[in-house]
Amino acid sequence: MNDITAAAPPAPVAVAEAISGEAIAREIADMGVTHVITVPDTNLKTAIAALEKAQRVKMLYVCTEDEGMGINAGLYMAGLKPMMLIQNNGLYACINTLKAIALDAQVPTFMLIGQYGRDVTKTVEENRLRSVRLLEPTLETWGVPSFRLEHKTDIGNIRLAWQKAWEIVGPTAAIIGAPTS
Amino acid sequence: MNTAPRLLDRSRAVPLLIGKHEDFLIVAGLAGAAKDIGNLTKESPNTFLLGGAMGGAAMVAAGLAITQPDKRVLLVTGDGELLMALGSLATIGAVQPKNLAIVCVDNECYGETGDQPTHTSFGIDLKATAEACGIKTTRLVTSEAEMAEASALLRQSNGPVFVLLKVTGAPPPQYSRNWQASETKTAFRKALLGKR
Repeated sequence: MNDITAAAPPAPVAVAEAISGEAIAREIADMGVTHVITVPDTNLKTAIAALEKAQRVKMLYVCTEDEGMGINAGLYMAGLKPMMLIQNNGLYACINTLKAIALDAQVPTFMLIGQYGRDVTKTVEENRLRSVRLLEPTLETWGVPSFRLEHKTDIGNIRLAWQKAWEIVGPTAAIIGAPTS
Repeated sequence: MNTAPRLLDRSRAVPLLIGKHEDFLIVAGLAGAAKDIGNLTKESPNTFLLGGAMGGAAMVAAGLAITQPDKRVLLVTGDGELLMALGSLATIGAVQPKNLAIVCVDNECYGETGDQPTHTSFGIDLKATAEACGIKTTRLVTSEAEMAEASALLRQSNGPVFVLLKVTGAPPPQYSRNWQASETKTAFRKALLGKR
């Protein structure tokens, strides 16, 4: 006889928790960013919406991440403080431009990267998708410092990554582990 | 389709079209365009030549144009590079930087790698592409008689300008460039902003 009072199996516990899109947008504006250049990311859609709503930073939508790297360099060369908002797959799409512009020409290139497709109940390393698992190793291969945001308390890592990009005059990444709320 | 004749030699045509290069902040794409501009400007600090970022020059120029509205920004690129980043034309058409001029030196081949044909050799029309992307002021230049008007347009138009310069397959001028992109970027920024 089945025990119908038995508890259902516990829901998987999230390893990465949702960070508020508004908090991310506020942090970006407070850091002094002038432009957010983006090929939009699903996981960061509430952050993009919050940036649009707040109107404290100019949004530039481009067709490819390669374009984003280029326009980021142009804005920097003209004295402004841009950043990029992309997803993991976008990073893979623009490695040559990352090398030739952000690294070789030494352009501060802060990238806020969403981990599109991540199963948030697993660690990054345990995720099935290579687009999730290989993001940090790829960045490391190119010597690009990265900072994880896995919990709400990690919000300060956005600023750390931003400051690091200006300190090393090159690319850095802040990786958002879960879809923003 | 564009089947315009190709009679102009780039070594003569590019300097003729651009004229006084100091009128511009210049971003040049890689390979032939970098040699055209490097030879013309000797990499003066109003010049930034891209290397190894094929397709990237248009957006660097667009970024400069957006944020330096009082300066005239000139992109000099090639057909091969522009074909690699057609979305750049769409982005420029969407943003409409009033101070951006584009010269595409179209030799219908990848000159740097042995003259393999690009799609423009089959009639693909980059001028029409630019127009379709919302760049309203465009010119096709196939002769020296058309240079003066196009050269003036690069300086005077109130909106993005696209000039398709059809050239023969003759090689660009020999020029040995500075491959240290960080050095040339720093020189450019210092000249423009007075800082690294």
